[in-house]
Formats: sequence, structure tokens, C-alpha cells
Amino acid sequence: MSAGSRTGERLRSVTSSSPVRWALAGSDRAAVPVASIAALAVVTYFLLSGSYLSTIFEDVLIYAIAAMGLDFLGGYGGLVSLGQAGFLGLGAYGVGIAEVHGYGPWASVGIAIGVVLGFAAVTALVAVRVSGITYVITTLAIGQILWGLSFQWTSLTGGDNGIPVSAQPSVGPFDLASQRTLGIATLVVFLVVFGVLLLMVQSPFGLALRGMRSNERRLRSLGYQTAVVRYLGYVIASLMAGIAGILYVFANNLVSPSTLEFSQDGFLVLMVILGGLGTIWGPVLGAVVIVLFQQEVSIYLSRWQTLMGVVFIAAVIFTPDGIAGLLKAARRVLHRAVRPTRPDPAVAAAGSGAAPPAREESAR
Amino acid sequence: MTAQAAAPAGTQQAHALEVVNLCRSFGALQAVRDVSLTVAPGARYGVIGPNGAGKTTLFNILSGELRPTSGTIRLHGRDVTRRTPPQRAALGLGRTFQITRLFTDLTVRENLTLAVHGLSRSKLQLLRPWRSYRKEQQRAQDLAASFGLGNRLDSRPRELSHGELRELEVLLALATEPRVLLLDEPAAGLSPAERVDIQSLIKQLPPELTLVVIEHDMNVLREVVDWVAVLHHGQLVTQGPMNEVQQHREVRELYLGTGSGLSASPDAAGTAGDR
Repeated sequence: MSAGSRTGERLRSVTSSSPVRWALAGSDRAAVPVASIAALAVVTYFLLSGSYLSTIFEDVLIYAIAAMGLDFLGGYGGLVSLGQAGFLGLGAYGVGIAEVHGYGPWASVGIAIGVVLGFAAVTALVAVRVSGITYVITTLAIGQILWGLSFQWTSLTGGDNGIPVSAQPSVGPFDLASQRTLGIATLVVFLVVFGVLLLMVQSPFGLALRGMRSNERRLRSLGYQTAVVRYLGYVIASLMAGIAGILYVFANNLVSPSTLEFSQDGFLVLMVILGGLGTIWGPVLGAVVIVLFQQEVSIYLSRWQTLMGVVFIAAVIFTPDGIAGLLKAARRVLHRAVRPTRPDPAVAAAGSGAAPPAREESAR
Repeated sequence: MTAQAAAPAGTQQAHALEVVNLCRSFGALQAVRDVSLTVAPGARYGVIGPNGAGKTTLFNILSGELRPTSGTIRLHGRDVTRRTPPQRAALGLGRTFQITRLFTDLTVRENLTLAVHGLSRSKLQLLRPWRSYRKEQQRAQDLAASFGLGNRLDSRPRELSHGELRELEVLLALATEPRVLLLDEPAAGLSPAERVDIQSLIKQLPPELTLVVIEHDMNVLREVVDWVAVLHHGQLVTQGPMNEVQQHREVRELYLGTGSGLSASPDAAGTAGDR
């Protein structure tokens, strides 16, 4: 018995002092904070570099904002919209049209937000009445109405040529006309949206969204007016797209119908699904991949969309939960590698056949 | 049960639930025909009848998921015939479902939290984590603990036994603190041991809570209700105290004589023993 327990002691001391285990346990605990800080540092560096890459990172952040909004309602509430780009375009056109009519940059931002909220509040009345595929098609129709307007209401939108935007908002010494300031401002807005959405999905409302996706009828019997839940979710998701659109127009100095054409709706849905539906951070990674495809791979490969399609199909087959699912699986593997340090006393007890009460005491 | 006596207009407020001339048709099929009944506050009221008698349809009309073709429903004297299910829930009506309806993607804790927040304003709160609501979290935990789900809070419904699922089904409805609770076959599909569990859960409910129970298992029903209404082809055949209704000739014929769905079940055998 004493020999057995000594073996147990030795085993425990080896595992607890093993540098490999120590490193694994450390990386397990530190994975999320370290990865976040590293990502933030890299993004900040490139945004400040003023190089060509800074515009790519800006695009990533802008599309990520719209994609996170889409995921909020789609991934948690089960209502995937095919009209999200329409609201991005509405935010961008809101600023452009207001500036053309002589409003200052800040007033134009306010008008754009008002227009986005107003249009969302009205179209939500229709959208919340339907669900499933009917909802998808309804949002598609709403998005296409906006695209049609941008394309054909030439006197207001400039038609195919779009609207150039030159006046940028500024606060004191910070002028968004500067590439670097704009980059950092975009990052700040992104972080705020990210934080707010993370908070929202953990709120009672976020729980109600998930409950609605899971069992709407039961949710109603518990006192939830599910139409109100859908309505709020729809307006919030649309607002995020609108905010992305406002940043978009300042980053590109131009908005045209191609900003909100159907393929853009598709790209946003791709970002969410490829990144991971139902996690707020997944769509951010999805935005990285899709924007890199659009801007980098397209330089070397004229058929980049074909390649993207193949990548997407492969992702859906091999990791249905997207990049987020892949990372979570990697994390679980890490957990499993670390875990043997903990149930060690039990293993030793089983091996030695020592009196269990003594074991329990030593475990405490 | 004096509650069944024709009450003068002044005391109508006293009924927890009052149904007047309720009808519901699906095309040519009359699922519920001219049903009138009253349930006193704190009553333990059973609804029985062969399969297809219209029991669940009646419940769906009472909870607001189905609109009646005609008729009136009053909850504590208030006409709720045109109210939606969430509005009726807010007025103190809770229900469970014959086929378990839980939030399958959510943990037991999240299921209960959702239910606990159901009737408070905090349910639409956007910027505060639900885990930070101490009082609501405590209540969710207490509910789970009081009925043996205390150590299953972080499990998902697919990890629970059928008996635990049926308990959670009832707990969700209880979490909204209803004054009238409709239980649709709480013991459906349970083993004899699990039936005893759900039976004792129901018996532990506060006496002021008004209960309306659909149940096929006469042994369970006998334990939890003292008044029964019998439905057949959507019509109220008879009603009365449990032991009287069991002696009722028409009821025995319904369950035994016509070879309807229930005649072969042990529940019906129990009824036969009383003959």
C-alpha cells in the first residue's frame, strides 16, 4: 500500500512539474486573452502603417460590424437576413445624400442613422410577421427594393455613378480625412459594437432570442410577445449594418449601387456562416477571410469566386460550425491534454487500493 | 362542489376559469361543441375522455393558441377570449404541453431563467447579463432544486431522462407563477416510478393554485384531482366528483363498451374494478 501511494505521489509530482503540462495549462487559460490582444495589436499596427494593408483592415472591420449584426439576429434568433447589405447601403447613401444637400458631416451621420432606424422600424412591421424561408425572401425583397432605388432614383442617388463624399467629420484635432485617424476610429466603433453585441447576447433579451429560435410557441406561453423580440432584434441588426455603411462611405469616399447589390448580401451571409453562426466573434474571422479573398486572392486569380465557393463548400462539409467551431474544437483538445493533472489522485487511489477516506482528505 | 351550481351574476368573479358555450370547428369537424364549465379558485379539476375527444383542442383554446369559433372564456372574471397566449400568461394562466416543449438548445438553467423572466419587465433588458439577476437566478435554482433537478442545471434537455423532461416541462410553467395552471397529460410516456414522482410534484403545488389536468392514467388522476369533466366527441358528457364520475354508466360505456382507444389500457381496467 505504501509503495502504491508513493507511486501516486511521484506521478502527481511529475505531471504537476512537467513543463509541457504547465505550458499547455497556461496556454489553455491564456488562449483567449492572448489571441485577442495579439489580434488587436496587429490590426492597430496595420491601421497606423498607412500602407495599402490599412485599407484592407478597415474593410474587414466595416464588414465585420455588419456581419456581427446579421449574426445577432440570424445566429441567435434564427432569422437570417438576405437584405443586410441594403441597410449598409442605406447608411452610406444617407450620409452621401445629406452632404449633397448641404448638411455638415456630423449632421449627415445623424441623418443617416435616423434614416436607417426609420426604414428598419417600418420594414420590421412586415418582417416580424413571417419566419423561416418566407423571412429570408422578405428580407431579400427589402434589400432589393433599396438596391433598385439606389440604381433608378437618379435625381437623388446619382444612379450608376453613385455619390462622391468628400467632407469627413472631425473632433478637435482628430480628422477622419486622415487615413490613420479613420482607421483608428473604425477600430473603436468596431470594438464598441463588438462589446455591445456580446453584452446583448448574454442579456435576458439575448436569451429570449435564443428561446425564440428554439421554441417560439413555448416562449409565447411563458409571457413573451415574440413579435416584440423579433422587432427589436431586426432593428438592432439593421442599425449595425447602417453604422457599417456610414464608416464605409468615409473609408471609400464613394457610395454606388454596387455597395448594396445582391452579391454583397451573399458575402455578408458567407462571412457569418464561414465564421460561425451563433458566436459574435466568428463572423469577424469570416469577414477577414472573405475580404482577403475579394481583395488579395482576386489579384492573382481571376476566378477567385470559384475558389471561394469551393472553400465555402469544404467548410460547410468539414466544419459546419465555421471557423469558430474549428477553434472551439482545438480548444477542447487542449483541455483534454491538460485535464490528466486533475483526476490524478483518483487514478493513484485506484492503482494502490489505498483507503478511500484518506485519499479524499488529501484531495482536499 | 357548489362551484358547479348556477352562480348568481354577482359571484361570477369568484371563478378562476369560466368557459361559456365554447365551440371550435376545423372545417366540418366540430372538435369542441358547446362546452360550458366553471373552475373554482384552488380547484383540482380533471378533464378526461377518449382520444380525439377534444381535450387538447380545449386546452389550446383556453391558452389562446387557437381562437374559438364561438363562446367566451373568462379568467378570474375577466373576458380573455380575444387575448393572445402571452397576454393570458400575464394574466396568470400557465400551461404545459402533452408533447414536451422545451428550449432544447438551452441548458436547464437557461430554460428556467427564460421562464422566470417571462412576466417581468427585465425580459427585454438588453445591456445587463442575465446571470447578474440575483433574485431571478436564485428562483431558477430553487425551482430546480425543489423538484430534483438541482444538479442538472447545466445539462441540456437531451441529457435528461424522460421523467426529468416532464418535470422541467411543469417547472417552466410554474416559474411564471400562474394562478391557473393547465397540465396536458403530465404523466404521458412515464414509467410507473416516474409517474409517482410527477404525481407528488403536482400534489406539492400550492393549494391556492387552480389546476386543470388532462390525464389518461386514472391512477394518477385520482391522486391529483377531485372533480372531473368528461369530454366525448367535443361535448361535455358529464362532470362531478371523481368517485361519482367513475361510477357513471355513460362514462363506463365510453371507456369500456365501445372499444375506444382506452379500453385495453390498464387505466380502464382500474375503472372496471370499481364496477
